[in-house]
Amino acid sequence: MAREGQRAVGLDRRSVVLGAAACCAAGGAAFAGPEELLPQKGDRLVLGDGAKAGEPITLDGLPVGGDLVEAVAVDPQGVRREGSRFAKIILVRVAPDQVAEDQRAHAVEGVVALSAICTHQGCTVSGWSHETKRLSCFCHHSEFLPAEGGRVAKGPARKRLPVLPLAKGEGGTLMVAGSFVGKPGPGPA
Amino acid sequence: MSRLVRARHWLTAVAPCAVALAFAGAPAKAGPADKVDYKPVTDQRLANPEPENWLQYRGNYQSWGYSPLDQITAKNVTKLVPAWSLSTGVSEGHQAPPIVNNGVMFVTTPQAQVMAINARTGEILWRYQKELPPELSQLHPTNRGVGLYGDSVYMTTTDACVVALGATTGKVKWEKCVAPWQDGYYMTLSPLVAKGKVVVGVSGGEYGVRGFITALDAETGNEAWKTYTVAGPGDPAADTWKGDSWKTGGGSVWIQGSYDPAANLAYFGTGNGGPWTPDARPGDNLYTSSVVALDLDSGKIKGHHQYHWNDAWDWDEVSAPVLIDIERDGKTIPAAIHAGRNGYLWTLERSKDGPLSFVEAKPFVYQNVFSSLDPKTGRPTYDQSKIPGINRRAAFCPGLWGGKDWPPEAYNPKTGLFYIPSNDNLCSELAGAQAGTRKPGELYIGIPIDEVLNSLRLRDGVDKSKPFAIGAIQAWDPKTGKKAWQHDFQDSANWGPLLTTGSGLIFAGGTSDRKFRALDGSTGKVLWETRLNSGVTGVPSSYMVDGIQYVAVQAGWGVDAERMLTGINALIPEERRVSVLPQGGVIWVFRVMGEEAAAR
Repeated sequence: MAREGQRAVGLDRRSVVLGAAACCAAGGAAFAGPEELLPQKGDRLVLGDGAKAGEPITLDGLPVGGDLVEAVAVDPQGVRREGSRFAKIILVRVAPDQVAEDQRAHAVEGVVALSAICTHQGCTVSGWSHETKRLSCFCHHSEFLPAEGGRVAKGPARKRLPVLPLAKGEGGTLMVAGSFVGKPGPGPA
Repeated sequence: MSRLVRARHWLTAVAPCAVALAFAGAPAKAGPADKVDYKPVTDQRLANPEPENWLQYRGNYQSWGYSPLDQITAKNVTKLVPAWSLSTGVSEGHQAPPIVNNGVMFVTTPQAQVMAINARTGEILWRYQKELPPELSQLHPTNRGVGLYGDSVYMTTTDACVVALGATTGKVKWEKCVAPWQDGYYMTLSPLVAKGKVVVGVSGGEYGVRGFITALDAETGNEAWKTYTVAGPGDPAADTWKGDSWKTGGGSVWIQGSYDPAANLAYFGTGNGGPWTPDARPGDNLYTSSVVALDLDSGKIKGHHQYHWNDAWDWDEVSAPVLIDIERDGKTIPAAIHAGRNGYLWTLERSKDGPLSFVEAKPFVYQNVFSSLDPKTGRPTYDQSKIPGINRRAAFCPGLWGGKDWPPEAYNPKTGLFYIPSNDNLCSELAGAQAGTRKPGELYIGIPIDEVLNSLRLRDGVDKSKPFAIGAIQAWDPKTGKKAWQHDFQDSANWGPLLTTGSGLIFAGGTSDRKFRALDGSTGKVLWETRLNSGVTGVPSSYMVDGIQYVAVQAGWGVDAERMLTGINALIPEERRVSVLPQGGVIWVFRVMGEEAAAR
C-alpha cells in the first residue's frame, strides 16, 4: 500500500504574509487588499504596457485589425488590480459581427477582453493574429478564439480562456461589466 | 467577492498553518519501503556504480548513459516484454530516467512528483508531490530525475526549489528555494550530488534571468556556494558583456553536470544568452553556450570553453560533456565530448586543474552558420547573412532546436562508439525586435511570438513530396573522429535520450510514432521495437534485481518534442502528419521473457 506525502509549500511571500496574519494573529478571515482581487464590475481598464501605460483604454485606441493590448483593471478608488497574475487582461478587437452571438453581450463594438493566463500551464498569452482570429501562447503553442468565448482552437490547452465582460464607459472608455466567465489559470476543460 | 477570490483567500489563510503543522509533524509511519534493504548511496558508490544499479541521471559521473549489464543481448532482445507498467497520473513531458538503488526505483515526473517503486514488482512504496504555486507559469513542465545520496532523495522543481526526501519514507527532510519563481526562475534538472553537496542550476533564460549554479549542503540544504553562468562585475570575463546586459543574460542550466572525482571538477553545459537577439547583448557573452569546469568545493570556474559566442539561434549547449579517455595518435586524451545544439561534435581536452583545450570539432548535421573554426581555439567565424537580430531577418541551419537538443548522448566502452540522437534537414528563419522593458516572470526573448511559432523551415533541396530523414541516431568513433553509422527516422524528429549496454545494444524512443527500440550498437540495425502509450522522451535506464536485467523508460510526450511536432506537421503533406499524439505518463519496465529460469 502506498503512502502519499504532500504539503503546501512554495508559497509566495504575499500568500504567506496574508495567510500568517489570518491564521495566527487575527484568528479570523483574511482580507486581501483590492489590488489582490480579480477584476470587478465597475472597474475601468487602462493600458498595461507601452509608452502610454496607465492611460484609459478607449475604443478609438483599439482599431479593428490592431494589435493585442494588455490591460489592467483599476477600481473606483484608483487601485490597480495587479496583485495576482490571474488578474492579467488582454484585449483584441474584431468586426462586431465576427463576435459569436452568445458572446456579444460581453463585448463592446467588437472589443473582447479575456484572461491573459493560458489555461494549459499558466504562461501569458501574447500572440494575436487578426487573419486567423486566434490568440496564441508561446510556451506550448495553444491557440484560442477570443470572438468565440475564448474557445480552444488548438491544444495542448483544453480549457477556454475566460472572457471578461465589458461595458462602454464615458467617452468611449472600457469598463468591466462582471467577473471573468470561468476561472482564470490552468485547469481541466 | 467572486467565488474564485474567496477560494484564494482561504488558501492563503490556511496554507501557512499547514506548513507550520507539517514542520511539527508526527514521525513518519513505517511503510513498505522501510522493509526494503536500502543501501545508502556514498561517494564511492557514485564514482563506481555497481552494474545492477543506475544511481544517477546518466548512470555514472562521466555521463556515459551506459549500463554494463549484458543479459539482454542482440539474440534475445526480440523476446523483450513488459514486466510491469505504471501510470504516473500526470501529463506533459516525462523525461526522467528511472533511477535504481538496490531494487528501489525513483522516478520523477512533471508537476513536481517523485515516486519510489519496487523495481521488480512495480509496487509503489511512496509518492511525494510538491504543491506548486497556483500562479506559476511552466514553460517547461518536466523534470529530469532525482539525485541520491546517503538515505536521501533530491529533486528540483519548477518553482526553483530543491526538496530533500527520506529515501525510505518519502518524508521531507528539507526544502530550499534557490531563486524567486516570480522572477522567472525555475529548475528541471536532476541534481549532481557529490562530497556532501547537491549541485543544481537554474533555467529562465527566456524570462531574462541571470543563470547560476549553486551547491547546497546535502544534510541541511544550506547554500555552500553560488556561481553565475553570466559573468558580472568582478568576473574575469565581465568584459564579454556591455552595459547592463549581463543582468538579463540568460545562461540557463538545464542538465545535470558531469563530474571527475579525481580532479574534483564538475562540468556543466550552459544555455544561450538572453534575449535571443544577439545585438541586444554585444560581446562574446561568457559563459553562455559553453561548458564550465567548476571546482566542486568552492564553485570557482576553473576552466571553460564557449562553443559559440554571442548566440543568435537559441542554441543552448545544455548537455554536460561526456567524459572519456580517448586514444589519438598514440596519446591518451582525457576528453570532454559534446554533440552541440549548434550541430558540431566537439572534442575538448580536460586538464586536472580545470582549463579545457580545443581538440577537434566537425558538423554532424547540416550547418550553414559557421564559415570556419579557428584551428587552435575552435572559435567559429560566422556567415553574417545567417545571423538574425533586431529588425534583421535571417535563415539558418540547423533550426532553433539544433542538431541535438537536450536528449543526452551515450558512450559504450565495449563498442568504443559515441552515440548521438540528432536532427537534420530542418532550419529556422527569424527576425527580432526590441525586447522592451523586462517584466519579472514574463517572456523576454526579443522575438515576436508569431516569428517563433512559424520559424521552422525545410533545408533547401529537401523533397517533401516523399518521406525524408529528420531524426537519427548516429555513431561516431572518438578515436578517429569519424562517423561509424547512422540510422535515420523518416518524417520524425528524434527526441530520444540514449541508453547503451554491456551487450552492445542501444535503447531509445524519441520518434512521433511512439516506438521504443533496441538497436545493435555496432551496426545501427533495429533489433526490436514496440509502440507505447505515448511518445518516449524519457531517459532509459537498465538495472538488475534477483538476477534479471530490466530496461526501464518513461513514455509521455510533451514540451519541446510537442512544439517541434507542430512545426513539422506544418511542413509536410497532411497525409503524413502525426496529428494525434496523446500525452500521459507511463513508466514501462521490460525484461526478456523466460530469462528468469535461465538466470537461476
